[in-house]
Amino acid sequence: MSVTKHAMLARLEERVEAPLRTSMGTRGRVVVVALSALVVLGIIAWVTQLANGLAVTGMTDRVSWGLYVANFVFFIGISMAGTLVSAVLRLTSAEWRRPITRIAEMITVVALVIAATMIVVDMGRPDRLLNVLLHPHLRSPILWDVLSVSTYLVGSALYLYLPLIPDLSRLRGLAVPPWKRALYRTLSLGWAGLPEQRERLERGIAIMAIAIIPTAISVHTVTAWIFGMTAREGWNSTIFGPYFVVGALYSGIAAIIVVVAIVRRTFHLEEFITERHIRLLGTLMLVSALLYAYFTLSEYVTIGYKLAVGDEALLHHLFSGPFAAVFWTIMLPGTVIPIVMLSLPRTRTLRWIVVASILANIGMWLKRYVIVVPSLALPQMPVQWGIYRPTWVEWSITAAAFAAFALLLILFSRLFPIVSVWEFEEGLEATSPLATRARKRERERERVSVGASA
Amino acid sequence: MKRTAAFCCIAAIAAMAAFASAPVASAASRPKTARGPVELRAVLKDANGRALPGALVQLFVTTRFFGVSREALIDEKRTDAKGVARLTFAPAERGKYKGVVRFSGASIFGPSEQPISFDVRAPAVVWKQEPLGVGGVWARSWVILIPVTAVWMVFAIAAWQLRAVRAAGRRPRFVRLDEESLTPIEGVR
Repeated sequence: MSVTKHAMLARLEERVEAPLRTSMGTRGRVVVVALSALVVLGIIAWVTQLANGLAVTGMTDRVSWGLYVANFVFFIGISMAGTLVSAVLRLTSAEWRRPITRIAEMITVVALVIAATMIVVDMGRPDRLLNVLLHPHLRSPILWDVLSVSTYLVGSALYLYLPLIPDLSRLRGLAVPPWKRALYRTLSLGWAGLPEQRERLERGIAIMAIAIIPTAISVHTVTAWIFGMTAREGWNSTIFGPYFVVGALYSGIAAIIVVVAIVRRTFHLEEFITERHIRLLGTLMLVSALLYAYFTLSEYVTIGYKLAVGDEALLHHLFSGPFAAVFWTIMLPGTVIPIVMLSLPRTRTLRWIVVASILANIGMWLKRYVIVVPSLALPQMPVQWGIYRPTWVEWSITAAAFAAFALLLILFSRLFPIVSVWEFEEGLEATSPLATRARKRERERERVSVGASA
Repeated sequence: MKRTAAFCCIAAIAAMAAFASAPVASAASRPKTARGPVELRAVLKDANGRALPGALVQLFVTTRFFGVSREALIDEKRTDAKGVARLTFAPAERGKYKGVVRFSGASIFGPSEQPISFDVRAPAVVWKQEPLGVGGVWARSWVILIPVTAVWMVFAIAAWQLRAVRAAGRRPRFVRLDEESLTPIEGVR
């Protein structure tokens, strides 16, 4: 490795280790206090709900799912893209992945924790949570979801942990409080970079990179089936599984872009996470956005063409009725405008890609709301539409969920390296002139041997 | 002018199993007791006491729906050659039931009805409550259990690598003695 690259690596180590060594600045503390206040508000709201029952929410016997389930589906979507993007880029040996995989994997684990919490909150009687395991009903999509989410949580935690080990071994000698040092020592499993250790670690990462892809897809497919297995207008669709997967990819990549941009700026990682990384992520997001738009068109055109009685009422409510403002926000600022912004060379800059990502995430959260609420509000008997107005309890818990998501990401970035330094180093070695020459020699040898055998 | 048809007796209540030998009661208004699904035999005769075949007879039970008392149509059958219609009712809850058996009239016959009441001691099993038992819950469970187990086994294989990493780290490390210098083994930091 050249001197320049050595210096670059040293700078990266310094930037990544700085938040682990030093305490938070004033601005950071203000952010943490504000987020913590929201989380406390959410806890107060939840305690109110536990004490008085779900009657304190806007949910009724008609609209029995609301913000909690919308949040659950949204966070599951965010979680899907993180690990999926990391695993796919790793398996395809995309070199540009190296500074962003850790952030993507971290988003997955944190989003899954929040999503699982939303289900507990939605239950109203969390003391009955264990009944899912004590009295399992294997024909129920709810149990499938519990199985797939718990499997995915364990898998993605393992997938996050494996590439952390070499970086944790670097931190053993860091000037940090003793408990942190003990944590790094324990978690690094005596890593010394031995060839045998490296081989085992890479084998573990490769196995997980392959296994996590179908697991991630299954999680969102099964979440879609909770709706799709029901003969209810707006949910009764055969494409709900792939539609949810594509939507999850779209919102997940958008979330990665936003978090990567914040991390890049906060930890001064502009040298390592360049605008090119954001643009490449933007390209992935554009592809998923186009797929999502295609699925949306397919879904509404087939329903609208047949126009069954219930579907007609639902579409009327979505297109021009009480949900029209939300629906068209999803369609225009949530889908069309991000596609335009990501397509035009003029707006394919860091700032506009981040703006497009924020719009996409707002749109996708609203989409989750529109999937859940109008279909439930639609009457199944000749009676009035169900009414759902979320109360302060639901809004507080929703705000707390997003605040907890941000807080957990901050906590992670203060405890563990936010960029995979050893993988970045490996990338530098792979692009060094020596390595390039060696690869060239190898290719020539292969060509000669192929020629000889021919 | 329409003639009057009358239920000479609204008969009795019996368990479905005892269908063939169901006794005929003489009075409909007296509370009867039943266990399980209830069968009512309604006999429709005209004013002259002749059986009325092929007439549609309906059973209504008084029920409270969202706080309002109303009659719910439970069953309807046509009378046979002897003017008998067998109406069934599977109550889901125990308790006293009131209702009416009604003939709305047809051709020259005017409408007629007979109130009834009966006491259900044990409700009929009209649906299976959970847990469904091994057959219901675990049927075709392999469709789910096999892929989930397979994924967890793959995770276990990946996690097993951690054990190997730890074991390798614990082993005492040696340095190779070259002719000129002591060189760390390749890969050791």
